[in-house]
Amino acid sequence: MPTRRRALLVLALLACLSVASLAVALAVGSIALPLHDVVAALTGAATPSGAIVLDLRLPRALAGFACGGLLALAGALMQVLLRNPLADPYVLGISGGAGVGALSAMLLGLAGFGIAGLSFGGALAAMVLVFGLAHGDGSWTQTRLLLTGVVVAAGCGAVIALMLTLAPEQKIHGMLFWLMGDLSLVADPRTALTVLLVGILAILPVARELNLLARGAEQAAALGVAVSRLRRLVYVIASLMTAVAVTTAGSIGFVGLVVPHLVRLVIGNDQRLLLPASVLAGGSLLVLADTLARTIVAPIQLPVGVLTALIGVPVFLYLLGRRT
Amino acid sequence: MLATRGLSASIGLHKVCLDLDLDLAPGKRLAILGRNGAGKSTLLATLAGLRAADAGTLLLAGKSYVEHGLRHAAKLRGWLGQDRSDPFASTVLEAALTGRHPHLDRWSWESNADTEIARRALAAMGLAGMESREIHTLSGGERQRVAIAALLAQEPRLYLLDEPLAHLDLNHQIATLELLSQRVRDEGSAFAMVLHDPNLALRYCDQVVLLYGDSRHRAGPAADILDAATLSDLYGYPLRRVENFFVPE
Repeated sequence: MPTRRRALLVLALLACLSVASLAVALAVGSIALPLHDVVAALTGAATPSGAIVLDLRLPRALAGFACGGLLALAGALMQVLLRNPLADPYVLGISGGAGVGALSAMLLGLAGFGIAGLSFGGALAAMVLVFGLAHGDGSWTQTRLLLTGVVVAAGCGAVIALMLTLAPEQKIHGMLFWLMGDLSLVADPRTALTVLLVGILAILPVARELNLLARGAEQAAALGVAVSRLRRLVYVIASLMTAVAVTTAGSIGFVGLVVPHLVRLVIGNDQRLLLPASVLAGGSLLVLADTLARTIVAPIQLPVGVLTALIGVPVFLYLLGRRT
Repeated sequence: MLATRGLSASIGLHKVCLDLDLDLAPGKRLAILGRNGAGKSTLLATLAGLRAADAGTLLLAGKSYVEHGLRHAAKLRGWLGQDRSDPFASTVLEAALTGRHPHLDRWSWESNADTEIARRALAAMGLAGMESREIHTLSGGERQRVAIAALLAQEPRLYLLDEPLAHLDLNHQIATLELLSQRVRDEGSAFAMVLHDPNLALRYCDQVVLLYGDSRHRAGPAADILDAATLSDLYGYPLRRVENFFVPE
């Protein structure tokens, strides 16, 4: 059990990492900028590089940070809700629903706002569908919820495969990029950042109750936790955060599954520390991965989901090996 | 401490008990006996307020669970379940500290005093020095003792234990019952536990509830109710009394 002081220290370190990752994202690119130019642009000084920093790189970096944080937090919550270390934000079909919505929008020839709207609608539809079906008989076991979610996700996967098969050739590239996760189209990161802030503020007050829920619902109830209410809260928050992240940047894989485990390996499983630490670590990882994705073989841009996995897998395996 | 009037409990379509009247005074110890599947755990969970009763009243320290509220009830009664599955890693001390949850405010972290209570509970269960062990590296009996330590750290007035002796060796079975009996005596608290050994029930409990599995039950003082004929009927296997012990034929 970390003490409160140790928890604050860990969070301060991760906050520094987050700031550093954002600084790198703002400085690096097809035109490399020295750090003092970045600072000057951010503080409002009129410099020639101001537009690059403020209009191009800052929204993208902030969106990446927000999505990484949203996915990591949603993943950590899903793992507690389902009491399953293999759960991730997409396991209950939310990204599948969003994918069906987004790809439909692309097939219909809609652009930015249409794609976001339909994908958010698809995510919400999947969320309501899974919740309604899993709740069918009044009980709400983790297994029933998990199975319902997995089946809905599989159904969405089939529809997505069908749409990819039928789609005209020139649209397929965009569809694949959306499915793998892509931050290049983000115009405004404010929605994602706001939802991230609201989500973390809503979940931190019940973090110690989540510690108990992770150990078992009945024992948690005996210790005074309102289990049904807590589960519904966690489900709604995790689902909405996933929906917003996927709507912003497509279904970026890996972050939601592995960042909570990465953080858990280093600092343990106390949700009071794990949840905020996952936000900061997930945000930093996605910002760094996206920076690499747009620079490593520039001018070609790689899908950021590929990079999160390529960075995350060796780090995760190293920590896992160190522990045992 | 705990009183029921006309309490009926069921699980699915299975009636566990009808019209149970029970009074468990401070300092008293109750055993629930019956065959597998008779509904002992269901009754215990009902007494813990974790399941709704079909009918009747259930009072904990003179008030219903609804009147107490979840949090206040958790300060008064502790419940030890049978489930020992922990999907995530945790140290022994962290597991024992979960018992302090009802005593902490929303934003408080466990204080040194809470840690001290949890350490003492672990020491009482013979787990001193194992605080930083990972619970997944423990044996079944050790994990059971960690769970009991968490219940002790909760410091309730009413201990409800579902098969607390499961996985424990003989030494720790007796030690656990001695410890709980002493606590009940010293604190003026009470316990009710599901047991499978009528001899231990006779030795360590003042009252018993027998569940026959067909909604019939008998409740009363252990010394009056426990005899060879009753237990033979309860378990569906002939038992004989030898000196002060019941032995299977």
